[in-house]
Amino acid sequence: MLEASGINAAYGRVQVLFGLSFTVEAGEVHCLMGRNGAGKSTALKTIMGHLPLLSGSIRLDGQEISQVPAHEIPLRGGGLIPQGRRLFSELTVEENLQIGLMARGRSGRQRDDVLDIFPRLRERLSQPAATLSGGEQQMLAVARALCLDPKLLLLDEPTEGLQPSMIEQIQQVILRLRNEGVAILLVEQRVDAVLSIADRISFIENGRMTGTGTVDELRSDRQGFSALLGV
Amino acid sequence: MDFGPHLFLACLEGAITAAVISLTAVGLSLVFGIMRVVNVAHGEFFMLGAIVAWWTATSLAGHPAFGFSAALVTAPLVVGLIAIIINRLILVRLNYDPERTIVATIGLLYVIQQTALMTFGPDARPVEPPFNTRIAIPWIGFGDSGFELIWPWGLATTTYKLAVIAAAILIVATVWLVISRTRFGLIMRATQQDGEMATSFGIPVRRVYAIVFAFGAALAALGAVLIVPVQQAHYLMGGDPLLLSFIVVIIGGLGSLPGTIIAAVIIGMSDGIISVFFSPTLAKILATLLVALVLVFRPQGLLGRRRA
Repeated sequence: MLEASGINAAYGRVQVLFGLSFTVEAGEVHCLMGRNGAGKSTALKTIMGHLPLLSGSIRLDGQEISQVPAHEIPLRGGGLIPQGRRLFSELTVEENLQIGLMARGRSGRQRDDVLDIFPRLRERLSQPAATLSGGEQQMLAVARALCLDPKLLLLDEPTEGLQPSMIEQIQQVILRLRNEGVAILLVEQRVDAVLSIADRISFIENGRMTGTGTVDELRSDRQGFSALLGV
Repeated sequence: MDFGPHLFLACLEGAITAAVISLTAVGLSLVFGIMRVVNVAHGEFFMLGAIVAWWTATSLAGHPAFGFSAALVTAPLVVGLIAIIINRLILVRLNYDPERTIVATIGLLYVIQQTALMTFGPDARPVEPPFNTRIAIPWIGFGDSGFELIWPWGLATTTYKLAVIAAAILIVATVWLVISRTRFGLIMRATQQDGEMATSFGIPVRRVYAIVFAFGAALAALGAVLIVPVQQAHYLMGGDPLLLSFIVVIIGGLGSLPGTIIAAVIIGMSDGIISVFFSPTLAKILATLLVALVLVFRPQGLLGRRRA
Protein backbone atom coordinates (compact mmCIF):
# COMPACT_ATOMS: atom_id res chain seq x y z
CA MET A 1 0.00 0.00 0.00
CA LEU A 2 2.74 2.46 1.03
CA GLU A 3 6.29 2.18 -0.25
CA ALA A 4 8.76 4.77 0.98
CA SER A 5 12.10 4.37 -0.70
CA GLY A 6 15.25 6.30 0.14
CA ILE A 7 13.42 9.41 1.30
CA ASN A 8 15.54 12.43 2.13
CA ALA A 9 13.77 15.49 3.53
CA ALA A 10 14.79 18.81 5.07
CA TYR A 11 13.43 21.67 7.12
CA GLY A 12 14.79 24.55 5.05
CA ARG A 13 18.48 23.84 4.64
CA VAL A 14 18.71 21.36 7.49
CA GLN A 15 18.33 17.78 6.31
CA VAL A 16 16.39 15.69 8.82
CA LEU A 17 15.62 12.43 7.03
CA PHE A 18 18.41 10.38 5.45
CA GLY A 19 17.37 7.66 3.03
CA LEU A 20 14.44 6.21 4.97
CA SER A 21 12.90 3.17 3.36
CA PHE A 22 9.94 1.16 4.60
CA THR A 23 6.67 -0.31 3.46
CA VAL A 24 3.22 -0.64 4.99
CA GLU A 25 0.98 -3.32 3.58
CA ALA A 26 -2.80 -3.24 3.54
CA GLY A 27 -4.09 -4.66 6.82
CA GLU A 28 -0.78 -4.11 8.58
CA VAL A 29 0.20 -1.94 11.53
CA HIS A 30 3.77 -0.75 11.03
CA CYS A 31 5.13 1.20 13.97
CA LEU A 32 7.94 3.75 13.84
CA MET A 33 9.83 4.05 17.10
CA GLY A 34 12.69 6.21 18.22
CA ARG A 35 13.69 8.96 20.59
CA ASN A 36 12.18 12.44 20.54
CA GLY A 37 13.53 14.34 17.54
CA ALA A 38 14.57 11.16 15.75
CA GLY A 39 12.46 12.04 12.71
CA LYS A 40 9.34 9.91 13.19
CA SER A 41 6.81 12.75 12.93
CA THR A 42 8.85 14.28 10.14
CA ALA A 43 8.52 11.04 8.21
CA LEU A 44 4.72 11.25 8.53
CA LYS A 45 4.74 14.92 7.47
CA THR A 46 6.85 14.05 4.45
CA ILE A 47 4.46 11.29 3.40
CA MET A 48 1.54 13.74 3.69
CA GLY A 49 3.42 16.24 1.51
CA HIS A 50 3.90 18.88 4.20
CA LEU A 51 7.63 18.68 3.83
CA PRO A 52 9.32 18.72 0.43
CA LEU A 53 11.18 15.60 -0.54
CA LEU A 54 14.83 16.19 -1.47
CA SER A 55 15.03 12.81 -3.12
CA GLY A 56 13.51 9.39 -2.94
CA SER A 57 10.17 7.94 -3.77
CA ILE A 58 6.84 7.57 -1.97
CA ARG A 59 4.24 5.36 -3.60
CA LEU A 60 0.70 4.99 -2.35
CA ASP A 61 -1.35 2.17 -3.83
CA GLY A 62 1.24 1.88 -6.60
CA GLN A 63 1.18 5.56 -7.56
CA GLU A 64 3.97 8.02 -6.92
CA ILE A 65 2.73 10.72 -4.52
CA SER A 66 5.95 12.57 -3.72
CA GLN A 67 5.32 15.13 -6.46
CA VAL A 68 1.58 15.64 -6.04
CA PRO A 69 0.28 18.68 -4.12
CA ALA A 70 -0.21 17.96 -0.41
CA HIS A 71 -3.98 18.50 -0.61
CA GLU A 72 -4.32 15.70 -3.17
CA ILE A 73 -2.82 13.04 -0.90
CA PRO A 74 -5.99 12.72 1.23
CA LEU A 75 -7.96 12.47 -2.01
CA ARG A 76 -5.81 9.45 -2.92
CA GLY A 77 -6.53 7.76 0.38
CA GLY A 78 -3.93 9.11 2.83
CA GLY A 79 -5.23 10.11 6.26
CA LEU A 80 -3.39 11.70 9.16
CA ILE A 81 -4.07 11.83 12.89
CA PRO A 82 -1.42 14.30 14.00
CA GLN A 83 0.33 14.60 17.30
CA GLY A 84 -1.59 16.91 19.65
CA ARG A 85 -4.82 16.21 17.68
CA ARG A 86 -4.86 19.59 15.91
CA LEU A 87 -8.62 19.73 15.66
CA PHE A 88 -10.34 22.72 14.12
CA SER A 89 -11.05 23.82 17.66
CA GLU A 90 -13.53 26.62 16.92
CA LEU A 91 -15.57 24.41 14.62
CA THR A 92 -18.21 22.12 16.08
CA VAL A 93 -17.79 18.36 16.23
CA GLU A 94 -20.20 18.06 13.29
CA GLU A 95 -18.21 20.60 11.25
CA ASN A 96 -14.95 18.77 11.99
CA LEU A 97 -16.52 15.58 10.68
CA GLN A 98 -17.88 17.39 7.63
CA ILE A 99 -14.36 18.58 6.77
CA GLY A 100 -13.31 14.93 6.77
CA LEU A 101 -16.29 13.82 4.70
CA MET A 102 -15.95 16.56 2.08
CA ALA A 103 -12.47 15.61 0.94
CA ARG A 104 -13.38 12.33 -0.72
CA GLY A 105 -17.05 13.11 -1.15
CA ARG A 106 -18.10 10.55 1.44
CA SER A 107 -21.76 10.40 2.41
CA GLY A 108 -23.69 10.67 5.65
CA ARG A 109 -23.48 6.88 5.89
CA GLN A 110 -19.72 7.12 6.43
CA ARG A 111 -20.41 9.72 9.12
CA ASP A 112 -22.94 7.44 10.82
CA ASP A 113 -20.51 4.50 10.71
CA VAL A 114 -17.84 6.64 12.34
CA LEU A 115 -20.26 7.89 14.99
CA ASP A 116 -21.22 4.28 15.72
CA ILE A 117 -17.57 3.69 16.66
CA PHE A 118 -17.55 6.78 18.91
CA PRO A 119 -21.15 7.13 20.18
CA ARG A 120 -20.09 9.73 22.74
CA LEU A 121 -19.39 12.16 19.89
CA ARG A 122 -22.99 11.84 18.75
CA GLU A 123 -24.03 13.63 21.94
CA ARG A 124 -21.55 16.43 21.30
CA LEU A 125 -22.20 17.21 17.62
CA SER A 126 -23.10 20.86 18.13
CA GLN A 127 -20.31 21.56 20.62
CA PRO A 128 -17.14 23.38 19.55
CA ALA A 129 -14.25 20.92 19.49
CA ALA A 130 -12.30 23.05 21.95
CA THR A 131 -14.88 22.35 24.67
CA LEU A 132 -14.43 18.55 24.54
CA SER A 133 -12.38 16.64 27.10
CA GLY A 134 -8.93 15.41 26.07
CA GLY A 135 -10.22 11.89 25.43
CA GLU A 136 -13.18 13.14 23.41
CA GLN A 137 -10.87 15.35 21.39
CA GLN A 138 -8.74 12.33 20.53
CA MET A 139 -11.90 10.44 19.54
CA LEU A 140 -12.81 13.32 17.27
CA ALA A 141 -9.32 13.42 15.76
CA VAL A 142 -9.65 9.73 14.91
CA ALA A 143 -13.27 10.09 13.76
CA ARG A 144 -12.39 13.04 11.52
CA ALA A 145 -9.65 11.02 9.84
CA LEU A 146 -11.96 8.01 9.46
CA CYS A 147 -14.48 10.24 7.66
CA LEU A 148 -11.88 10.36 4.88
CA ASP A 149 -12.33 6.60 4.51
CA PRO A 150 -8.54 6.26 4.24
CA LYS A 151 -6.60 3.41 2.68
CA LEU A 152 -3.52 4.48 4.59
CA LEU A 153 -3.75 5.99 8.06
CA LEU A 154 -0.84 7.75 9.70
CA LEU A 155 -1.15 8.11 13.46
CA ASP A 156 1.28 10.23 15.44
CA GLU A 157 1.25 9.21 19.10
CA PRO A 158 -2.51 8.78 19.27
CA THR A 159 -2.52 7.62 22.91
CA GLU A 160 -0.37 10.45 24.26
CA GLY A 161 -1.82 11.92 27.45
CA LEU A 162 -4.91 9.69 27.51
CA GLN A 163 -6.34 7.72 30.40
CA PRO A 164 -6.01 3.90 30.20
CA SER A 165 -9.65 3.25 29.19
CA MET A 166 -9.31 5.70 26.31
CA ILE A 167 -5.98 4.18 25.24
CA GLU A 168 -7.71 0.80 25.13
CA GLN A 169 -10.51 2.21 22.97
CA ILE A 170 -8.09 3.84 20.52
CA GLN A 171 -6.11 0.59 20.25
CA GLN A 172 -9.30 -1.32 19.53
CA VAL A 173 -10.13 1.11 16.73
CA ILE A 174 -6.64 0.68 15.26
CA LEU A 175 -7.01 -3.11 15.31
CA ARG A 176 -10.47 -2.88 13.77
CA LEU A 177 -9.13 -0.72 10.94
CA ARG A 178 -6.29 -3.15 10.39
CA ASN A 179 -8.77 -5.99 10.12
CA GLU A 180 -10.72 -3.96 7.57
CA GLY A 181 -7.58 -3.77 5.43
CA VAL A 182 -6.40 -0.25 6.20
CA ALA A 183 -2.63 0.18 6.10
CA ILE A 184 -1.55 1.84 9.35
CA LEU A 185 1.69 3.65 10.01
CA LEU A 186 1.89 4.36 13.70
CA VAL A 187 4.33 6.54 15.59
CA GLU A 188 4.25 5.46 19.21
CA GLN A 189 6.56 5.73 22.21
CA ARG A 190 4.83 3.28 24.55
CA VAL A 191 6.46 -0.12 24.12
CA ASP A 192 3.54 -2.07 25.64
CA ALA A 193 1.08 -0.45 23.24
CA VAL A 194 3.36 -1.12 20.28
CA LEU A 195 3.86 -4.78 21.16
CA SER A 196 0.13 -5.32 21.53
CA ILE A 197 -1.02 -3.82 18.23
CA ALA A 198 1.93 -3.59 15.81
CA ASP A 199 2.79 -6.20 13.20
CA ARG A 200 6.13 -4.66 12.33
CA ILE A 201 8.39 -2.15 14.03
CA SER A 202 11.07 0.09 12.55
CA PHE A 203 13.50 2.14 14.54
CA ILE A 204 14.68 5.61 13.57
CA GLU A 205 17.58 7.51 15.00
CA ASN A 206 18.81 10.88 13.79
CA GLY A 207 16.68 10.57 10.68
CA ARG A 208 18.10 7.17 9.72
CA MET A 209 16.54 3.75 9.89
CA THR A 210 18.50 1.67 12.40
CA GLY A 211 16.52 -1.54 12.39
CA THR A 212 13.29 -3.21 11.45
CA GLY A 213 11.52 -6.44 12.20
CA THR A 214 8.27 -8.14 13.03
CA VAL A 215 7.02 -8.04 16.59
CA ASP A 216 7.71 -11.76 16.96
CA GLU A 217 11.29 -11.34 15.75
CA LEU A 218 11.87 -8.53 18.18
CA ARG A 219 10.27 -10.44 21.05
CA SER A 220 12.65 -13.32 20.44
CA ASP A 221 15.69 -11.02 20.43
CA ARG A 222 15.15 -8.98 23.59
CA GLN A 223 18.77 -7.83 23.75
CA GLY A 224 18.70 -6.50 20.22
CA PHE A 225 15.31 -4.92 20.85
CA SER A 226 16.57 -3.13 23.94
CA ALA A 227 19.60 -1.92 22.02
CA LEU A 228 17.41 -0.53 19.25
CA LEU A 229 15.19 1.18 21.82
CA GLY A 230 18.28 2.65 23.45
CA VAL A 231 17.42 1.35 26.92
CA MET B 1 -29.91 74.06 13.92
CA ASP B 2 -30.43 72.87 17.51
CA PHE B 3 -28.10 70.32 19.05
CA GLY B 4 -30.58 67.42 18.81
CA PRO B 5 -31.23 67.58 15.06
CA HIS B 6 -27.57 68.40 14.46
CA LEU B 7 -26.52 65.26 16.38
CA PHE B 8 -29.05 63.17 14.46
CA LEU B 9 -27.63 64.47 11.18
CA ALA B 10 -24.10 63.66 12.37
CA CYS B 11 -25.25 60.14 13.28
CA LEU B 12 -26.64 59.69 9.78
CA GLU B 13 -23.31 60.73 8.26
CA GLY B 14 -21.58 58.40 10.72
CA ALA B 15 -23.83 55.53 9.69
CA ILE B 16 -22.77 56.00 6.06
CA THR B 17 -19.09 55.96 7.08
CA ALA B 18 -19.76 52.87 9.23
CA ALA B 19 -21.53 51.17 6.32
CA VAL B 20 -18.67 51.67 3.89
CA ILE B 21 -15.93 50.97 6.45
CA SER B 22 -17.63 47.75 7.49
CA LEU B 23 -17.27 46.49 3.91
CA THR B 24 -13.59 47.42 3.55
CA ALA B 25 -12.77 46.25 7.08
CA VAL B 26 -14.51 42.89 6.64
CA GLY B 27 -12.40 42.36 3.51
CA LEU B 28 -9.22 43.28 5.36
CA SER B 29 -10.20 41.11 8.33
CA LEU B 30 -10.89 38.07 6.14
CA VAL B 31 -7.55 38.43 4.38
CA PHE B 32 -5.68 38.76 7.65
CA GLY B 33 -7.72 36.16 9.53
CA ILE B 34 -7.39 33.46 6.91
CA MET B 35 -4.14 34.26 5.12
CA ARG B 36 -2.26 36.05 7.93
CA VAL B 37 -1.43 38.72 5.35
CA VAL B 38 -1.59 42.35 6.47
CA ASN B 39 -2.59 43.92 3.18
CA VAL B 40 -1.37 47.52 3.31
CA ALA B 41 -2.62 48.00 -0.28
CA HIS B 42 -6.23 47.24 0.71
CA GLY B 43 -7.21 50.93 0.47
CA GLU B 44 -5.95 50.97 -3.12
CA PHE B 45 -8.43 48.22 -4.00
CA PHE B 46 -11.07 50.61 -2.66
CA MET B 47 -9.67 53.40 -4.84
CA LEU B 48 -9.52 51.12 -7.89
CA GLY B 49 -13.14 50.17 -7.26
CA ALA B 50 -14.12 53.84 -7.34
CA ILE B 51 -12.17 54.46 -10.55
CA VAL B 52 -13.65 51.42 -12.28
CA ALA B 53 -17.09 52.59 -11.11
CA TRP B 54 -16.47 56.05 -12.60
CA TRP B 55 -15.15 54.53 -15.83
CA THR B 56 -18.11 52.15 -16.12
CA ALA B 57 -20.72 54.78 -15.27
CA THR B 58 -19.33 57.35 -17.72
CA SER B 59 -18.84 54.80 -20.50
CA LEU B 60 -22.49 53.81 -20.54
CA ALA B 61 -25.08 56.20 -21.87
CA GLY B 62 -28.60 56.38 -20.52
CA HIS B 63 -30.08 56.73 -17.06
CA PRO B 64 -27.50 57.00 -14.23
CA ALA B 65 -29.03 53.92 -12.62
CA PHE B 66 -27.91 51.88 -15.63
CA GLY B 67 -24.26 52.90 -15.36
CA PHE B 68 -24.29 52.59 -11.58
CA SER B 69 -25.81 49.10 -11.70
CA ALA B 70 -23.16 48.05 -14.20
CA ALA B 71 -20.48 49.49 -11.90
CA LEU B 72 -21.79 47.36 -9.02
CA VAL B 73 -20.87 44.33 -11.13
CA THR B 74 -17.74 45.46 -12.99
CA ALA B 75 -15.85 47.11 -10.12
CA PRO B 76 -15.78 44.07 -7.77
CA LEU B 77 -15.05 41.76 -10.71
CA VAL B 78 -12.19 43.86 -12.14
CA VAL B 79 -10.66 44.56 -8.73
CA GLY B 80 -11.07 40.91 -7.69
CA LEU B 81 -9.30 39.87 -10.88
CA ILE B 82 -6.47 42.33 -10.19
CA ALA B 83 -6.20 40.86 -6.68
CA ILE B 84 -5.92 37.33 -8.10
CA ILE B 85 -3.09 38.48 -10.38
CA ILE B 86 -1.33 40.21 -7.46
CA ASN B 87 -1.78 37.08 -5.35
CA ARG B 88 -0.24 34.95 -8.09
CA LEU B 89 2.63 37.30 -8.93
CA ILE B 90 3.58 38.46 -5.44
CA LEU B 91 1.99 36.70 -2.46
CA VAL B 92 2.47 33.15 -3.72
CA ARG B 93 6.13 33.88 -4.53
CA LEU B 94 6.61 35.21 -1.00
CA ASN B 95 4.95 32.06 0.34
CA TYR B 96 2.47 34.31 2.21
CA ASP B 97 5.22 35.15 4.69
CA PRO B 98 3.61 37.68 7.10
CA GLU B 99 6.59 40.05 7.28
CA ARG B 100 7.61 40.04 3.63
CA THR B 101 4.02 40.50 2.45
CA ILE B 102 3.72 43.68 4.54
CA VAL B 103 6.72 45.16 2.73
CA ALA B 104 5.43 43.93 -0.63
CA THR B 105 1.96 45.40 -0.14
CA ILE B 106 3.46 48.75 0.93
CA GLY B 107 5.26 48.77 -2.41
CA LEU B 108 2.07 47.69 -4.14
CA LEU B 109 0.20 50.59 -2.55
CA TYR B 110 2.49 53.08 -4.29
CA VAL B 111 2.53 51.18 -7.58
CA ILE B 112 -1.28 51.12 -7.77
CA GLN B 113 -1.62 54.71 -6.57
CA GLN B 114 0.90 56.13 -9.03
CA THR B 115 -0.47 54.02 -11.88
CA ALA B 116 -3.90 55.48 -11.13
CA LEU B 117 -2.42 58.99 -11.11
CA MET B 118 -0.74 58.44 -14.48
CA THR B 119 -3.80 56.94 -16.13
CA PHE B 120 -6.83 58.37 -14.33
CA GLY B 121 -5.25 61.73 -13.54
CA PRO B 122 -5.21 63.87 -10.40
CA ASP B 123 -8.79 65.15 -10.58
CA ALA B 124 -11.68 64.00 -8.44
CA ARG B 125 -14.44 62.68 -10.68
CA PRO B 126 -18.09 62.30 -9.75
CA VAL B 127 -20.42 59.42 -10.39
CA GLU B 128 -24.08 60.29 -10.57
CA PRO B 129 -26.19 58.42 -8.02
CA PRO B 130 -28.91 56.17 -9.47
CA PHE B 131 -31.52 58.00 -7.40
CA ASN B 132 -31.15 60.91 -5.02
CA THR B 133 -34.42 62.20 -3.67
CA ARG B 134 -34.06 64.57 -0.75
CA ILE B 135 -35.91 63.48 2.38
CA ALA B 136 -36.64 66.10 5.01
CA ILE B 137 -36.55 64.60 8.49
CA PRO B 138 -39.03 65.75 11.10
CA TRP B 139 -38.05 66.50 14.69
CA ILE B 140 -40.06 66.76 17.88
CA GLY B 141 -39.86 70.27 19.30
CA PHE B 142 -41.52 72.08 22.14
CA GLY B 143 -43.76 74.86 20.81
CA ASP B 144 -46.63 77.04 22.08
CA SER B 145 -49.01 74.10 22.14
CA GLY B 146 -46.58 71.64 23.77
CA PHE B 147 -44.66 68.95 21.87
CA GLU B 148 -45.12 69.21 18.12
CA LEU B 149 -43.58 67.89 14.92
CA ILE B 150 -41.22 70.44 13.37
CA TRP B 151 -39.09 70.41 10.19
CA PRO B 152 -35.71 71.97 11.13
CA TRP B 153 -33.94 73.61 8.23
CA GLY B 154 -31.10 71.43 6.97
CA LEU B 155 -32.23 68.24 8.74
CA ALA B 156 -32.44 66.07 5.67
CA THR B 157 -30.81 63.17 3.94
CA THR B 158 -31.20 61.50 0.57
CA THR B 159 -32.71 58.22 -0.51
CA TYR B 160 -29.33 57.27 -1.92
CA LYS B 161 -27.54 57.66 1.42
CA LEU B 162 -30.16 55.50 3.12
CA ALA B 163 -29.77 52.95 0.34
CA VAL B 164 -26.00 52.85 0.94
CA ILE B 165 -26.62 51.93 4.58
CA ALA B 166 -29.19 49.29 3.65
CA ALA B 167 -26.95 47.83 0.92
CA ALA B 168 -23.98 47.57 3.29
CA ILE B 169 -26.12 45.79 5.89
CA LEU B 170 -27.34 43.40 3.22
CA ILE B 171 -23.83 42.69 1.90
CA VAL B 172 -22.33 42.15 5.37
CA ALA B 173 -25.24 39.85 6.29
CA THR B 174 -24.64 37.88 3.08
CA VAL B 175 -20.93 37.58 3.85
CA TRP B 176 -21.78 36.35 7.34
CA LEU B 177 -24.19 33.78 5.92
CA VAL B 178 -21.61 32.58 3.41
CA ILE B 179 -19.00 32.16 6.13
CA SER B 180 -21.22 30.55 8.73
CA ARG B 181 -23.67 28.51 6.65
CA THR B 182 -22.03 27.39 3.44
CA ARG B 183 -19.57 24.68 2.51
CA PHE B 184 -17.06 27.26 1.27
CA GLY B 185 -17.46 29.18 4.54
CA LEU B 186 -16.62 25.99 6.43
CA ILE B 187 -13.54 25.53 4.27
CA MET B 188 -12.53 29.15 4.94
CA ARG B 189 -12.94 28.73 8.71
CA ALA B 190 -10.98 25.47 8.73
CA THR B 191 -8.20 27.08 6.69
CA GLN B 192 -8.19 30.06 9.05
CA GLN B 193 -7.65 27.80 12.05
CA ASP B 194 -4.99 25.47 10.71
CA GLY B 195 -3.89 25.66 7.10
CA GLU B 196 -1.66 22.59 7.30
CA MET B 197 -4.42 20.41 8.75
CA ALA B 198 -6.85 21.79 6.19
CA THR B 199 -4.42 20.56 3.53
CA SER B 200 -4.41 17.16 5.24
CA PHE B 201 -8.15 17.02 4.59
CA GLY B 202 -7.93 17.78 0.90
CA ILE B 203 -8.46 21.53 1.05
CA PRO B 204 -6.37 23.35 -1.58
CA VAL B 205 -5.26 26.06 0.81
CA ARG B 206 -3.52 28.22 -1.79
CA ARG B 207 -6.65 28.27 -3.93
CA VAL B 208 -8.65 29.26 -0.85
CA TYR B 209 -6.14 32.07 -0.22
CA ALA B 210 -6.51 33.32 -3.80
CA ILE B 211 -10.30 33.36 -3.52
CA VAL B 212 -10.23 35.08 -0.12
CA PHE B 213 -7.80 37.73 -1.35
CA ALA B 214 -9.98 38.42 -4.37
CA PHE B 215 -13.12 38.39 -2.22
CA GLY B 216 -11.59 40.91 0.23
CA ALA B 217 -10.56 43.19 -2.62
CA ALA B 218 -14.00 42.88 -4.22
CA LEU B 219 -15.66 43.87 -0.95
CA ALA B 220 -13.48 46.98 -0.77
CA ALA B 221 -14.38 47.78 -4.39
CA LEU B 222 -18.06 47.30 -3.63
CA GLY B 223 -17.78 49.75 -0.74
CA ALA B 224 -16.16 52.23 -3.11
CA VAL B 225 -18.92 51.88 -5.71
CA LEU B 226 -21.49 52.64 -3.02
CA ILE B 227 -19.68 55.71 -1.74
CA VAL B 228 -18.41 57.20 -5.00
CA PRO B 229 -21.68 59.07 -5.79
CA VAL B 230 -21.25 60.78 -2.41
CA GLN B 231 -17.44 61.30 -2.29
CA GLN B 232 -16.15 61.26 -5.91
CA ALA B 233 -13.36 59.07 -7.26
CA HIS B 234 -9.78 60.23 -6.66
CA TYR B 235 -6.42 58.51 -6.82
CA LEU B 236 -5.65 59.35 -3.18
CA MET B 237 -8.99 58.24 -1.77
CA GLY B 238 -7.65 54.88 -0.49
CA GLY B 239 -5.84 56.38 2.50
CA ASP B 240 -8.77 57.02 4.85
CA PRO B 241 -10.53 53.68 4.30
CA LEU B 242 -7.21 51.89 4.86
CA LEU B 243 -6.56 53.73 8.13
CA LEU B 244 -10.14 53.29 9.37
CA SER B 245 -10.20 49.63 8.31
CA PHE B 246 -7.02 48.88 10.23
CA ILE B 247 -8.44 50.72 13.25
CA VAL B 248 -11.68 48.74 12.99
CA VAL B 249 -9.94 45.38 12.51
CA ILE B 250 -7.60 45.97 15.46
CA ILE B 251 -10.39 47.17 17.76
CA GLY B 252 -12.78 44.43 16.65
CA GLY B 253 -10.21 41.68 17.01
CA LEU B 254 -8.00 40.43 14.20
CA GLY B 255 -9.89 37.89 12.15
CA SER B 256 -13.19 38.26 14.06
CA LEU B 257 -16.07 39.10 11.75
CA PRO B 258 -18.61 40.09 14.46
CA GLY B 259 -15.92 42.16 16.21
CA THR B 260 -15.07 43.88 12.94
CA ILE B 261 -18.71 44.82 12.33
CA ILE B 262 -19.22 46.14 15.88
CA ALA B 263 -16.00 48.14 15.68
CA ALA B 264 -16.99 49.48 12.24
CA VAL B 265 -20.21 50.83 13.71
CA ILE B 266 -18.40 52.38 16.69
CA ILE B 267 -15.62 53.94 14.60
CA GLY B 268 -17.87 54.96 11.71
CA MET B 269 -20.40 56.64 13.95
CA SER B 270 -17.78 58.39 16.07
CA ASP B 271 -15.93 59.46 12.90
CA GLY B 272 -19.14 60.94 11.48
CA ILE B 273 -20.18 62.67 14.68
CA ILE B 274 -16.75 64.10 15.55
CA SER B 275 -16.22 65.19 11.92
CA VAL B 276 -19.52 67.08 11.92
CA PHE B 277 -19.08 68.75 15.32
CA PHE B 278 -15.31 69.27 15.30
CA SER B 279 -13.09 68.13 12.43
CA PRO B 280 -12.34 64.96 10.46
CA THR B 281 -8.70 65.18 11.59
CA LEU B 282 -9.72 65.11 15.26
CA ALA B 283 -11.91 62.09 14.50
CA LYS B 284 -8.91 60.21 13.06
CA ILE B 285 -6.67 61.25 15.96
CA LEU B 286 -9.18 59.97 18.53
CA ALA B 287 -9.73 56.73 16.62
CA THR B 288 -5.98 56.13 16.47
CA LEU B 289 -5.74 56.87 20.18
CA LEU B 290 -8.45 54.29 20.80
CA VAL B 291 -6.40 51.74 18.87
CA ALA B 292 -3.41 52.49 21.09
CA LEU B 293 -5.56 51.97 24.19
CA VAL B 294 -6.96 48.70 22.83
CA LEU B 295 -3.46 47.46 21.99
CA VAL B 296 -2.31 48.24 25.54
CA PHE B 297 -5.31 47.01 27.53
CA ARG B 298 -6.96 44.42 25.27
CA PRO B 299 -4.51 43.46 22.53
CA GLN B 300 -6.82 40.77 21.15
CA GLY B 301 -9.50 43.42 20.45
CA LEU B 302 -13.17 43.37 21.43
CA LEU B 303 -14.02 39.87 20.21
CA GLY B 304 -10.65 38.48 19.13
CA ARG B 305 -9.05 35.54 20.87
CA ARG B 306 -5.61 35.62 22.39
CA ARG B 307 -3.15 33.58 20.38
CA ALA B 308 -1.03 31.09 22.30
